[in-house]
Order: sequence, then C-alpha cells, then structure tokens
Amino acid sequence: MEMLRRVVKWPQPSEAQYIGVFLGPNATLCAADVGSPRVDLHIIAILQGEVTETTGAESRIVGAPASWTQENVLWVPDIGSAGLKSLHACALPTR
Amino acid sequence: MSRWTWFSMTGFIVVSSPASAQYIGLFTDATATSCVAQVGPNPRVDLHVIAILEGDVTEMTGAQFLIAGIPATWTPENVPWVPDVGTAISLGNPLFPTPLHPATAGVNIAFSSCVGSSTSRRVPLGRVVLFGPPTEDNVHLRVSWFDLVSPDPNCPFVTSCGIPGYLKVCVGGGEIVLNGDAPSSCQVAAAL
Repeated sequence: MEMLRRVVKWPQPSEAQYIGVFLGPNATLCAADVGSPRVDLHIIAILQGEVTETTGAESRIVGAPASWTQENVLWVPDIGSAGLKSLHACALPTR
Repeated sequence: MSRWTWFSMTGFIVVSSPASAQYIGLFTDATATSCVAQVGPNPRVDLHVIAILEGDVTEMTGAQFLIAGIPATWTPENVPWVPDVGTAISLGNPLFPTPLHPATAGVNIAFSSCVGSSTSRRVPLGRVVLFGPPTEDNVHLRVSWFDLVSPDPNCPFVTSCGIPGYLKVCVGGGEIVLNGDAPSSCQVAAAL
C-alpha cells in the first residue's frame, strides 16, 4: 500500500466534473418537496471537465435524516451499471 | 474481489446436479412463508427473492436467475430491482434486459464471502418493489434461468463455497401468484 501511495498520482478534482444529486434524470433540479408517496433522487456523474468518460465511481451521501432506513429509502443501481456495490459505492449514469 | 475470482465464478466451472430441497423463491415476506399477494390498490409491495438452502448446499457465494411472467405494464421505473444490502455485486436485472445482456432479463449476484449456514438456510438476494404498476389478475411470476457466460447450466443456480469453489449448483425455482389463488407450492421445477 505504501508503494501504491508513492506511485499513484491522484488527479486533482475539477469543478466542472462532479457527482450530483438531482430530482430528475436530466440533472437540472437539486431541490425537492418530498411529501408525496414516492420521490426519486437521481445520482448522476457530471463529466464536463477533463474526464469525459468513466468506468466507475465511488461516493457516499451524507446528511440523511435519522428517520431514513434501508426499508423506506431504497438504493437502486442504474440499469446500465454493473452494480458493484463493494467496489464502487455508487454505480452511476453519466451525462 | 479479484479479477481471477470473478473469472473463476463466471467461467469454466463444473456444474453440479440439482437438489430439489434448495431453490430460489419469491415471497411476500422476508421470512419466506407466503407466495401469494393481492397487489392492486397498494402503493408499494415488496416481493422478496430468497435462496432456500435446505439441500446438500448450505452455504453459497452467489446466484444467477431471471424472473419470468411479468406483465407488459411493468417497467424498470415502476418495478425496480433492489439488491439485498448483504450482496456485493448485482449484474443485470432479473425482470428486464439491461445493456449487459440486452437479449434477456437476468441477474448474477455475488457475495463477498460465504453466506448461509446450517442454522440460517434462507439467504436474501434482493427485492422486487412494486410501486403500483398495473397488474392484471392471476399473474404467475416464476424464477427461471438464462445464459450469461458459457457454460452456464440450463437452470437457476447458486455458487457453492468450499473446494472446488464457485461450483455452480442447479436449484429449483420459486413461484408467486399476484391477484389470484395461492399456488400449491412456492417451489417449482425450473431446469430444462
């Protein structure tokens, strides 16, 4: 692992590419009233920087209310992803 | 999971004969007791996909299967597949084709270690969540098989633990009836 740290140079983050949480699949809205019975929040990788393609991603979402559980808030991997949950915390569609 | 591990799991593996006391079932509850449901007016119904390991194989590392018989009104949006939180990998969707294998529905599931034991012979694989999709009367959903890689057996299967590892073991399929009478058994034959 120490060798890995010395050899690998992680790319610096770019503001134009990020993993976002949106109300719709077109990644335009990031505010929602969630009183209705079902609301889908879309996790989308926005690739508008130097990296325009991706094979995977790793992320987590913080700030979830204490009342959210794995029973009432479901994680549904995108149908185009491989669903590698242990290797990638999220498997995302790209835009 | 290493590349070799994944290749071993999906590649050249001896196929074991089926054992009738083990199957992949569809249930309305997490304890695998009921396989009939009325799903008309309910805004959300969870169908639990559970591996029943009551045969020779009491532990497993993964499974491969599809679910046949879905109504034409069901879509990935109104009936999402939710892999169980204990799984590590879920490739595909048991109800709908995906870009991984666009000609057929089907899912390949893997755990990061052996699951199940002599005391816990029900392994949850995931849930089919019905968000109020139009569903006619007497819908019969059945667990069946598909080919992901050659040589996959013509049956739903689980992959065993131990030596040799990742042996594909044919299992039976489950049946659940929606908006109809309960089937005579939650288990059905699923191999060719």
